[in-house]
Amino acid sequence: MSHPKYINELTKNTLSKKGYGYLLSLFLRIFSSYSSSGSIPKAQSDVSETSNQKENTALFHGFLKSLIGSNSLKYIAKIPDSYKIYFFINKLIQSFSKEESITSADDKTNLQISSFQDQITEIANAIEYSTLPIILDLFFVDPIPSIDEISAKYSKSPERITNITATFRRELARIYQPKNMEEGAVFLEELHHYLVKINKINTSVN
Amino acid sequence: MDYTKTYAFIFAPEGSLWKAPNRIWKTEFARNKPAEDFHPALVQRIKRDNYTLQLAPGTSKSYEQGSCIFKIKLRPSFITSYFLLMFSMPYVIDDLIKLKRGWANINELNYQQKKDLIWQIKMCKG
Repeated sequence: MSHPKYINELTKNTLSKKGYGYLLSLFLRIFSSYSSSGSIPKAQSDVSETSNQKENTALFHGFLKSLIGSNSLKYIAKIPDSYKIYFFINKLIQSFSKEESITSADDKTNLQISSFQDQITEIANAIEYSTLPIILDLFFVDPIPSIDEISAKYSKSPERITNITATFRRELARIYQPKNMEEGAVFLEELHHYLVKINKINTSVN
Repeated sequence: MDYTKTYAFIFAPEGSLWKAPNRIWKTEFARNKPAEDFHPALVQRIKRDNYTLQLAPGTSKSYEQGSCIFKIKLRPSFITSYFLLMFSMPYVIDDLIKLKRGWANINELNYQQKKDLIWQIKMCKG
């Protein structure tokens, strides 16, 4: 289960030893899931475990610094407890993604992805996380299933599924307007990959 | 995965409503109407290229209900709209998304209304 208590400690500058341990452990879990997918460079194999730990801890401290520097902690303090962990994780991913796009700045595709990143993160933040698997199963599969199929799979009424899809479409259209199909398809591909990562992390955290 | 399908499904879903200026219709439907006039438009069907669609015009003018007239109240308090399925015309998604989305504050038909629309199209076009 997630522990907003420790995030609350962090926002109040009263982070306990236990809270520090929890957030560090959460950070490393996400870090390793990125490493295994290749998004974040893995530590080199000839580096000792201790120095890996030092590097990871330093990275964690860097992340905390960035949270403080971007005033994100003030924002986290205002959102409901149930969403705090979700937001915290999203900030982590955003921070990782930016790092990744900077290191690959020569790559044209990555430059384009980087220009989408803020919109993608905003869309992800607008999705209620319990509905994320439904959105992935409905919009990002080939062939696209019917509302009735998704309704049966998740034991929710077709009307409820329709509402979820309508909310997602509305938020997407509010945040991002494609210039054309080509750009829209690239955007959706990146959004898809990002949502899969978040869903994977949500599943492992819960 | 073919993201153009996703693009069509998300940005111009079947049953979505748009605010369309008369000038986009070349048929007699909009004849003699000022270009600035707007009316609802309904995405009737996305074609197989996932880019072209059939856009049906809506009107508040009362028509006898026939198999090619999709008659619907978008909201209980709102005037009845008649979507003329036989007047639908090909349109491309990139142009569609430049129009304003929605009519009567409704962005797309609900689940039951979409089912009714599909049924109506079957009745009209076989």
